[in-house]
Amino acid sequence: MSETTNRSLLLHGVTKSYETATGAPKTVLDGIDLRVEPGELVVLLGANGSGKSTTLKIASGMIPPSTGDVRIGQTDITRMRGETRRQSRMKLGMVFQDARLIRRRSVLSNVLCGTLGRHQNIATMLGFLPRSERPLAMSCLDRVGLGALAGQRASTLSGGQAQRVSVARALAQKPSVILADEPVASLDPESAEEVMTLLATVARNERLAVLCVLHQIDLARRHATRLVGLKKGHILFDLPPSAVNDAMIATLYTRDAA
Amino acid sequence: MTHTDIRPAPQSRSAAISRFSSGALLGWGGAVILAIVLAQAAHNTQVSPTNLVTGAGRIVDIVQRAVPPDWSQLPAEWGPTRETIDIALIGTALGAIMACPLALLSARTIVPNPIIRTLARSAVALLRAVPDLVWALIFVTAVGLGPFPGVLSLILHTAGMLGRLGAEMIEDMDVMPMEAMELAGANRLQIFVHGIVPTLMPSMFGLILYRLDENLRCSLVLGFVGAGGLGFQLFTAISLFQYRTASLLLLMILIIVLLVETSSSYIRKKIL
Ligand SMILES: Nc1ncnc2c1ncn2[C@@H]1O[C@H](COP(=O)(O)OP(=O)(O)OP(=O)(O)O)[C@@H](O)[C@H]1O
Ligand SMILES: [Mg+2]
Repeated sequence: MSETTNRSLLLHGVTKSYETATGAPKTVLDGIDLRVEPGELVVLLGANGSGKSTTLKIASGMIPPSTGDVRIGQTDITRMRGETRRQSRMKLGMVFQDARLIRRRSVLSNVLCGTLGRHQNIATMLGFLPRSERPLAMSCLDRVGLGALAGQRASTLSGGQAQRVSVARALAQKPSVILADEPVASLDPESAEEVMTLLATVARNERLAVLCVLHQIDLARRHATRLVGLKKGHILFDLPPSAVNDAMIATLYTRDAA
Repeated sequence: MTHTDIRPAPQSRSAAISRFSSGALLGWGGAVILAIVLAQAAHNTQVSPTNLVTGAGRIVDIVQRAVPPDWSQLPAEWGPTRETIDIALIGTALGAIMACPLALLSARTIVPNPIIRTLARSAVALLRAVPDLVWALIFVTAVGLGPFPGVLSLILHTAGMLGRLGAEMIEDMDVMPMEAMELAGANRLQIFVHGIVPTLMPSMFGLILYRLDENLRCSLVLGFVGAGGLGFQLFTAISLFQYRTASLLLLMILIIVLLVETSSSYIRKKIL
């Protein structure tokens, strides 16, 4: 099981409290234990404000947890700084709701930007993209089905295409883990299906640990290997889709009387 | 996007309603105040249609003495023409270079430190607040007559204008793609050259071209205070009552300004 121990994503005892204007800190995550193995697509479900984005931000190292830790394989990446942090970031590919491409650059250039972390040399700092990575970048584009658009400007892409390019960019990073926060929220049903199929395929074929936030239950059921329900900073369930029934989903989204 | 609470807070909602109902009142009040302010401005600046009518005769007289333009002067004016264009070119280029660090340092999104930012912004504000004509007067006194004081004053004024517009552009830029690059392991310099520069370059270049266009006109006026070029020639011709030379110069200026204006707006359209 060396693969599992080296490339899985692990959140252990993660809590998060935000400072608020009123002074009293607000606890958003309260003891999250979560493991995503390579090859898995784990979907995080939960009502607005339940802490899904916060979980992903902590997993990506964008914000630190109040307590607990995040590991990729054996490496604790929670409180890294400087160069080691930059190195660990390469292991995490991110996909956002808005694809966050450099709109004026070509599709291929955007994908190549995903490889910059591996090429910290004079040429890339003068504005040249690493030529040696072109074949890899092209193959990443082919894997998301957009090889034909390599030369096109990112600003001309449809939402679904842009999102697939951002998946290709994440793949070009050669990550162990992909984190996706509502990657299909602004896509039409067909594009949403495509992007989720892509993420599931990537997880399975490239042996990546994929953690994805979704609001579409049916999409989640169809593509996830596991569903994790988050409510008010607690994990309500962590089960394969077949074991999650409608009552559990209903509980997840009902607002308790305050 | 995180949108956890879309209901407006109660007080901002009532504020919005009262703002809505008082909108028309404010509009009419504003119009009356504006009318009063404009009336006193017209009075104070001695705006007077009768003076314009009596002055019209003299204007016709000057125009009659200015035609036809003195074409024989044309060859002699090539030198000053080139000088005017060159003053604008070099002043714009060096000013733009000087504006880059100023714009970066005064952008909130790049420099979180408020002290550095305030310093940079004050420098930019000073450069802009002093009219280029005043800079030119200062530099003519300091380095003597000729194109060089014109260049110096254009550099400073351009740095001030582009410094401010550049900072606004940087602050308006969508930083999410840059954040994505950072999360993917790119370093700061890489984020700058691969993310920020390609994003800002076309609009920055457009601003610089627009500035070139403005600077050409500025450099003509700068000539009036001794800072070289066609402006200086025009000033001399008018002072010596050589109206036919002056009309030739005005014609040349018109053509140059139109040429630069159309070509710079054409290039701007192409790159944006
Ligand atoms: N920087 C912050 N400071 C204070 N509170 C925050 C901050 N970021 C998020 N929160 C709060 O944390 C809670 C969880 O937010 P989070 O964005 O994780 O929810 P979410 O599950 O992603 O919701 P959504 O489905 O709307 O995206 C919310 O109540 C939010 O107001
Ligand atoms: Mg969210």
